[in-house]
Amino acid sequence: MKKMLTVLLVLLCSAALFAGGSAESSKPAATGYKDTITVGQGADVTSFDPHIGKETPAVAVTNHIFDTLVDTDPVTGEVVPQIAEKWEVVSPTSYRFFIRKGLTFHNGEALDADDVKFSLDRAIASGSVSYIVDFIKEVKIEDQYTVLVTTKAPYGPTLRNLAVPFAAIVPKDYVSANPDILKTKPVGTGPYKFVSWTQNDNAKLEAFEQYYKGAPQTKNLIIKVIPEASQRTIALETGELDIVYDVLVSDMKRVRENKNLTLLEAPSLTCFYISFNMRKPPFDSQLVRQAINMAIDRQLLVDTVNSGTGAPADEIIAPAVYGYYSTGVWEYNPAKAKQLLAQAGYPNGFSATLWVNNNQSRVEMCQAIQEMLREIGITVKVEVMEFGTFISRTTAGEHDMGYFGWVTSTKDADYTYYSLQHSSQQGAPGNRSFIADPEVDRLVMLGRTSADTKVRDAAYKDLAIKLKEVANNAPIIYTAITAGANKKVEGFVLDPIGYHRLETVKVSK
Amino acid sequence: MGKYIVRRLLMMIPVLLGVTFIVFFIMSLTPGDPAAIILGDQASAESLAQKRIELGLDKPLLVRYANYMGNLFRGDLGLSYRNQLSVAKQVWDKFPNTAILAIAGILVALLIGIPVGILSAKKQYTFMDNSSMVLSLIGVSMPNFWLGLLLSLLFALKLGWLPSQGMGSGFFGLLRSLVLPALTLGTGVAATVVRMTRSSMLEVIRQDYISTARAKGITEKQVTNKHMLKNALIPIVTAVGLQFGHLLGGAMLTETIFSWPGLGRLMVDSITSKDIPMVLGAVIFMAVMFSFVNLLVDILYAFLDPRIKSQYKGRKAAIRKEVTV
Repeated sequence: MKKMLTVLLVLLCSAALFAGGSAESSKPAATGYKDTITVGQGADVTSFDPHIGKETPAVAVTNHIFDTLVDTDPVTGEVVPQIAEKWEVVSPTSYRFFIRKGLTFHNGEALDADDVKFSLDRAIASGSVSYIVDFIKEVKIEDQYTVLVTTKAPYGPTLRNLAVPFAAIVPKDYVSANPDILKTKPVGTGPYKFVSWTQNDNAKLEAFEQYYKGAPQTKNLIIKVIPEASQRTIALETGELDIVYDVLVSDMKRVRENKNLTLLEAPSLTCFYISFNMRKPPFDSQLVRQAINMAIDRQLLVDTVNSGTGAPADEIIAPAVYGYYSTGVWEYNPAKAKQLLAQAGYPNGFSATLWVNNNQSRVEMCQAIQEMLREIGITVKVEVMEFGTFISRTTAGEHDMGYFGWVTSTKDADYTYYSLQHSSQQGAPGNRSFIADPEVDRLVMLGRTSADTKVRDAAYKDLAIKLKEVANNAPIIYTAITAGANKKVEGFVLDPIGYHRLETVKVSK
Repeated sequence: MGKYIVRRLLMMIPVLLGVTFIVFFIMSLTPGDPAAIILGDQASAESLAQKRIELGLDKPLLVRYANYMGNLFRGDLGLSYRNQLSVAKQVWDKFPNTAILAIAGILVALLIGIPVGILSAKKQYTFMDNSSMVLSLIGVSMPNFWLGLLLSLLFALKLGWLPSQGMGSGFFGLLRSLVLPALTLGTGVAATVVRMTRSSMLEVIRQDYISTARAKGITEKQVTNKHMLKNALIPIVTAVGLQFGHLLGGAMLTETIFSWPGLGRLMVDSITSKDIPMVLGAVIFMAVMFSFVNLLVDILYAFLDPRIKSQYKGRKAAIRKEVTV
């Protein structure tokens, strides 16, 4: 037995030596601030290639490594220069970008128009992210630091789409030599350069001293993967982490009550909503759809199922999105809802199914809605299915009602309205209510094709009012972006999109 | 013995074939389109179709299986659907981390389980025996994720002695970060070892040869270690071997709670994203590990019990005799 234990001990020690790397250098800088920010998030990077890895945990890392032609300000939402120092709208279908001179990639390659054209063409060809840039017809190099982007048709959200991290600018020569290299060895022009990645453990980045805005405030950035949300909070409390993303609702109180920590909350760009399949009776009736909207107590859902986080939704785009117009949250009025049902020819209600994918919080939300609809005589069966099945079956239009979530990734209303409301986008592209309304189509296209903000604003206002009347969807809640931070963290701004830039963040000792 | 080992190794081939067949078909026939999972609900129909072609999902299931097996025989486990990186490399990268945790977990289990089991058997029906049985029942029943969180709250948050998560770097950093996951993993296994040790010790404790040993005048320690424990070890080794085999496949819950970058977490992530090549690769690796551990356990029997060794020898002698005749 002793021998066996000795063998195991020896095995363990040798394995530990084999796996143990060099000790971490996390010595604080002499300035009174730490030289390393350690952040915790729930999932790992799938790909460091910005034209492939589009999930929030991936972008939370890669958006420090790569820059885009333009950017959106996380606070004001305005489009601001980044790689392009300025631009001009040449015609409704062409935009000229003037590239900042003297920019270099982390590997020392100089950035010019060649890299911009290569990157945008590469993003357009990528199955994962093309939907952000496929409005582009051609990227033409005018000179070493000027490119002309021509769109297939007049396209209002051009600048906002080019600000999405999936339109990142990558080094042409580096990527051409090995098209797969960015997956594991990313090189960009962003404020941090890639150091190492230990899968399912952490990604380490180091400040890029030559960044055009000046070197980041903190030298090292470590983004750790901690899938268990309670453990992320514990690690924040113990000081192992400076910032954690996605604080669990049940942990929020603990973070709020801890005098060393701050809980940051901001409305996200995500809306959860029910899509009614307008091809199927009784959901082809506008009165039925309005009745259901009226039978849902959204504030109660926020207060109970969501434990007070988020806000009741009145639109399928969130207030932080350009083009949002508030039509007011649907009034909760079951008596009136019953009247509407009776007018629609269903005085005794009816039975229907509500489909949802196998995500616990989404299922709980559907169960609460199920009970609310029971009060007006609608018997709802909640059917839970695996995500892939859910998407393919709702794409085929087999559902009565489906519970969906949608992120307006570009922060521009067109991204959501075109995909979810335009008749050409039925099924897979996103329109799973199968709405085909000429007036809705006209307003969507007016907002989409105009570069004039006044025209766009007016179109989106009319569209919001029209959609409330049509009620093809029942917007339920806007979620909140949450993060916990140590009070020693300075300069951290929550971006409603869910991935935050940390080059201005510093942590006092 | 040599022939026996070779035969056992050859028997792994049908086991692996069975494993790949079952896992491939289960993963492929469960609902869900990997392309839709990878590209998300905002991808276009064309991108989805293109992705399916890229992944080879447009081909019939049997053709896909045949292709997979063809590549497998050439030693190619393919690329992960999720990150397009080599499956073999990812599994191999994660294995040392899982091995460290498994060895540490088993060590904790043995250090707790064997002494407590022996004491329980020797002091049967005393307060000590009863309380250790109750504790081991709790140990078996307590879910790892709960125990892990409790240990984290106490040792990381309240006392601040140990890191709450992650795998530390450097030898001592690694050892510090290993304590909580190893305790979490080890206590559950320890409970099984306590019960197994106690019952198999009880079987030998009243045997005549134990009385003889005592009558010879040797110390009680020698009686316990050399005569009782050695004879009681075979079922314990079997149980520990099985548990170790399981742990080498990755302790999914413990690895998830403590953010330990091992095979278990890789497996969970791959199953949820329907990453068929990754799941298959990890399962094949796990099956190989399990078979090896079982083989080692069988070989260990021969060293623990001379009667088993003589059986091998006897068989060899019998075969020789047959050949001579």
